[in-house]
Amino acid sequence: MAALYGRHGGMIYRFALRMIQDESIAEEVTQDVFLALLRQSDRFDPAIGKLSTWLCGIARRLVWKQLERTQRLESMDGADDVPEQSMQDDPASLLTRKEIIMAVQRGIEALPPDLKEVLVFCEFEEMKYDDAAIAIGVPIGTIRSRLYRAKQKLATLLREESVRSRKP
Amino acid sequence: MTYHDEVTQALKELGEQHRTAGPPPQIEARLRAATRRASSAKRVVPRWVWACAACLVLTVSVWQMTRNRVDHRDGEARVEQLTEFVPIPGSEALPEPVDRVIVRVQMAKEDLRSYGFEIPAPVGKELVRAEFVVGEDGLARAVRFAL
Repeated sequence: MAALYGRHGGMIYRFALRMIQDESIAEEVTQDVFLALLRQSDRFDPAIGKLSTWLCGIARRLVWKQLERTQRLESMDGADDVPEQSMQDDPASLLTRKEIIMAVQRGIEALPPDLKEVLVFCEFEEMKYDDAAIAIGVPIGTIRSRLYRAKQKLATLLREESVRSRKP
Repeated sequence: MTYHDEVTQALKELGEQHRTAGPPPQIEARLRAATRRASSAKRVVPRWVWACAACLVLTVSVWQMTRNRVDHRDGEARVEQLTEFVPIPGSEALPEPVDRVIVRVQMAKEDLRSYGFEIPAPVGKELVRAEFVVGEDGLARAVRFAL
């Protein structure tokens, strides 16, 4: 157990913390994931996916339960569609590197959970799309489209930030 | 660079920062404690064993109570199976008592000799239950024995 926690505990905790943005709840989720591993290890089927993927799936379910409890869910029915805007300006001419990073960070925090989880898994934890698809329980195409939408949203937010900074 | 490129670059940097963060050590400590609790819980006797044990104790208790009741009845029967009152040798010379009480005692058979009874030897320390009729003067008038 200690070895498995050492290998996967960090990823689970970081994912939970990114999603819930509350350290104590992220700790609780991490603990519950490994307790689930302790109690229901027979449910893990290596033929379906990796252990890390299975653990991420458990973490995700716990995170979503928590989000439902705290009403942090947003509609997934296209309300987050990104409006078509010009994305060809150079933000570096308007914002410093630090400002860009901070703007993207804020943008990630504001993303709907279904887009954020894909971003955290695939971009931050460098998970393969097919593993993310197993962990989240959606087709791989959905992972790609959600990742695209997440990045598009962040780009829009960044553009809005740039526009605000341009104003006197 | 376009906004998309900047986002990709920012995500790369944020991802690197993200991966350096580790979980706080208290999670591992709590997990260790939980693992210990779970493994000790596994050693605990399952509930069904406790239920069976409780049933067994109940059955034995009921049986014991029934048995005691039978014994008690037997005891009563034994008390009822008494000999007739036999006058204490020499008590005929005593005045007829006005009040009488029955005193139940358990005594060595050989002590009956002191009351004038002829007890064949050897009797050893064998005990006998006896009921004495005692007058208001404190002197025994008669005795009967439990069989």
